[in-house]
Amino acid sequence: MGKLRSYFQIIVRFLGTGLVLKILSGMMLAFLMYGFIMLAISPRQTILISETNDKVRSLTPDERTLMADAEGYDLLKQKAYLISRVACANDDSIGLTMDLSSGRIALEIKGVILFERALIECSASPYFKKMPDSSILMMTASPHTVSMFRSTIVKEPIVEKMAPKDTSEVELTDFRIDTSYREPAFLVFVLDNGMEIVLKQYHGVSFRDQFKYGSFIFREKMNRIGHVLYALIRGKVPPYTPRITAELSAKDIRIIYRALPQHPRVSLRIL
Amino acid sequence: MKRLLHPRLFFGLVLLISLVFVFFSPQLPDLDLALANVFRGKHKSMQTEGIEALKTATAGKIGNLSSTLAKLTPKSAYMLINTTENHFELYKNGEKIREGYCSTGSLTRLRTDSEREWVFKTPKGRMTVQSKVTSPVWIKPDWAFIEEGLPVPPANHPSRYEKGVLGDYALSLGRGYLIHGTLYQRLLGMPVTHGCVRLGDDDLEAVYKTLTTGSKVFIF
Repeated sequence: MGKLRSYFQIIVRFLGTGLVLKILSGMMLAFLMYGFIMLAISPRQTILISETNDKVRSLTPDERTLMADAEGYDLLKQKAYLISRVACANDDSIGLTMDLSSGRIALEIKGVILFERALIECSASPYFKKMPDSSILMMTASPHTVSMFRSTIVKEPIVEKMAPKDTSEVELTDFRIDTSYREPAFLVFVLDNGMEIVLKQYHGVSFRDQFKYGSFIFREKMNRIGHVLYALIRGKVPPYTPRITAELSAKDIRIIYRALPQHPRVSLRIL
Repeated sequence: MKRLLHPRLFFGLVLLISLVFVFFSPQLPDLDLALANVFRGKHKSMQTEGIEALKTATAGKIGNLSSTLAKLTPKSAYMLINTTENHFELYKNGEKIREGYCSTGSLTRLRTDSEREWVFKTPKGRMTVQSKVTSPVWIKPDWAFIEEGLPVPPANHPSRYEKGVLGDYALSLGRGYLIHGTLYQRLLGMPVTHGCVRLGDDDLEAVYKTLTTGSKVFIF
């Protein structure tokens, strides 16, 4: 570090502070322009990837005809969502269904609705509006698998307990309060296609929890910035993550998170 | 303008813009797409004469898929158990006929010095009522003695059999998991069990009388 500083001092002495600052400013401006271009390309690259994947099953001529009509397209989206739910119903584990057009989220197993709530607010990345209709249909016609969760809440708050050696060591009361109920709720599902579903608590984050909630969001943000910068420095198009964000009560987010297995399947109906 | 182009000030401005860029960089593609969508607009109009027939056919397929899904929900009695809220719902003929509090697994891991361990949690998923009994007798497993600091008796030892602690009825869900009653009614609504589902006396009677062997119990 000291060696680098002495080199820098030599350059400053040789060129003058003004010129060095101009060169640095120019380099940063060039990086900004490069960054803007790469970031503008990133969603298009994602769309292209999804279109390439869609070639696995192309639309039938009838479906293409129907897509030209607004009502027909709605019917196709509804059909795709139901096909996906029926596919999910073949699984033995609990899955998640999310219908953005009616604003509902539900836990299902074998086609039976276990738990259903209305989303308080929901929004989707502009990416989904930009996506070709055929890609939306293909994407929603089969369930996705959650590859990873990130959350402020503990999935299974398991308490470790050592067996008492004799009756004198037995605790008088065995009941403990689950303190995880007081934690603010923020849950991110990362799907196998790179999409993210974000469920966040719609209100009631106490002042005490604001720091915990804020630090989780800050970590998420830093993580995303890190990925963008890492890609830009390597000369690659930064990853673009389309997101669906919905707000629910903390209690409902906790129920959903704890009911789902490690890699649940998700059926989606987008817009 | 000349002052603005002073190298130090210019460098400071560029540095500030760079920091703003870095901070908002993950959101910039969304902003770009939102602007593009403003000028886009999807134009959809009827283009084909046979489109109405296609719509009718698609609506028919939607109806079939909906009925396929509807058929998956049991017509007979079934029960939903929410382990996070320790709450149950009982359904018959598609109607909710009863709901209330229950107790489910405490999410405790009990360890012994000899490396034996048990995790007390209620399994999630679709279960089936395998058998129903009245006046059940609890056959205490090893953990019940270990947890109380007592020596573990041999199998079938009389001290393993305890009457009256499981309430008046029990419904077996297999693998040793039961829906049963409890002496600790004040703890209903709390996660305190070793994996079984405990109900209050009246709720247990209603569940026992409504569910039959083969009925589905969905735990989530």
